[in-house]
Amino acid sequence: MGTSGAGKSTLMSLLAGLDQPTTGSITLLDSTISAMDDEQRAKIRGESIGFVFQNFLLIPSLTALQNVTLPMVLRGNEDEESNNLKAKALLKEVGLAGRETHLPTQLSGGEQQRVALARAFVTQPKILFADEPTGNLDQKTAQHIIELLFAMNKEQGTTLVLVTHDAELAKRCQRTLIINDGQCQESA
Amino acid sequence: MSLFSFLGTLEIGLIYGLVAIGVYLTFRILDFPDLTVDGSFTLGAAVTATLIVMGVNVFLATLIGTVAAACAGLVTAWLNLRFDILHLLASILTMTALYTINLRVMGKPNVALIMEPTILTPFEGIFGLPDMYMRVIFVGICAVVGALLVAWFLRTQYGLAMRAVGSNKRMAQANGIVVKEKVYAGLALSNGLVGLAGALFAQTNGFADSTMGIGTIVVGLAAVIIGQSLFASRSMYVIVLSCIVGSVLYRLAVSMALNADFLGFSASDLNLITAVLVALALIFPKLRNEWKAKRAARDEI
Repeated sequence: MGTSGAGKSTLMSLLAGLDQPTTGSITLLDSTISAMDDEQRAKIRGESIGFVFQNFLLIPSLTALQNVTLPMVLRGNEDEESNNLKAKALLKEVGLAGRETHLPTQLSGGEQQRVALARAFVTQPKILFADEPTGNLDQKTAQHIIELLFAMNKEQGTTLVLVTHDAELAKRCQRTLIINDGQCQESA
Repeated sequence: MSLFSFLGTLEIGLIYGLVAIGVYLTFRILDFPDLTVDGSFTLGAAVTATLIVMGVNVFLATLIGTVAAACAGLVTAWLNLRFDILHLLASILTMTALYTINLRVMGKPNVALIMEPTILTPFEGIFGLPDMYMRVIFVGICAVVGALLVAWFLRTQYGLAMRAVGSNKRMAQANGIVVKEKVYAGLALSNGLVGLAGALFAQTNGFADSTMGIGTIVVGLAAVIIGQSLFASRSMYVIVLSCIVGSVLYRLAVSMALNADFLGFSASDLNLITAVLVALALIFPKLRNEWKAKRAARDEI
């Protein structure tokens, strides 16, 4: 948790190995990722990490279904039939059954974030990083997305690292860290 | 327009179809504006023509010309990825350097291939076809096979990763894609295709010239834009093949403009016609959307 500009997203990017620290070291899943090259870090992310971004970051030229199957294809699982079955089941779970062939531009913000949730969970990651996942959504849609996120997280037993500036949302997490002036401290 | 002139236009349009596919890969797939193609088109032609004159097998010469152009793409990617030089500037630097390199490769401003064997030689007189038809069929097959291979590639795991990189680097990174590797591969593939087009152009037209690549990027972009405005499709095969159709239509439009006596254009007006056609192709979709929005608003009222 932290105010806008406190460095929450930067910390998350560092923890996930998307960025490299100038000093210090980062250990993720028993590996010192700060000492790894691009390729090694990408491998760890591909195998064990999931992401949900504030801006959804779907591929505009791919349908909802293709966006969800993408992480599986990128992992080398090219069995289209089984990928589609898995992705359809997740899209149904997030309430998007029947919208599989829609492009991101044909979906609302909330629907796009639901596709992003399905994409994040489709590979059953060990850790899921969610960076202000409701930041671009209205309150009602945001509430729905959060309920989905926590439900899917519980179901899959994923470690969820959630970046937010919403104190109410933070209270639902087992552990809260607050970033202030570049310092990270455990919340009372 | 005479049949001879029409077939000549078709031939050039098909060859530039490969350029359009290369430009599509960088501009649309990788979101990397790459002007290297102005130099790599000539490099493909220069290397191939020089090797043919030296007596190297025409197929091997074409392959080496293509690989040399692909290397030019790698240099641009390296400047951008290793040293954070803006992609546009990195490509301009490579393009500028290639002008000198092309002169060095040829040892003079141009190389003639009039009496030399070319990639077309083995097919001369095949099935009793007159050469002017055979040439169009040959370059047409090259362009279509190239397009199908690229479309297939973009649907593979590697190709999807490349599309993800162009769509959003952050998301691609998050999904375990090594972004830099895909950019290197994309630029090499793009410039390789453009180099192949240059090699085919030199052999079908009988020369390689140090200035033949000027404006290649604009022609490639024009073809991509025309093709995509005419064929709005989600299919990768349709999208890539539309680059070739766009290229042929562009060439036909230019040829008709130059041949229409009442317009009074001469061959030296080619760049102006190109610029106007590209501007129209860019302006038209925007105006069409504005008209649609206005009509929808009027209908609501």
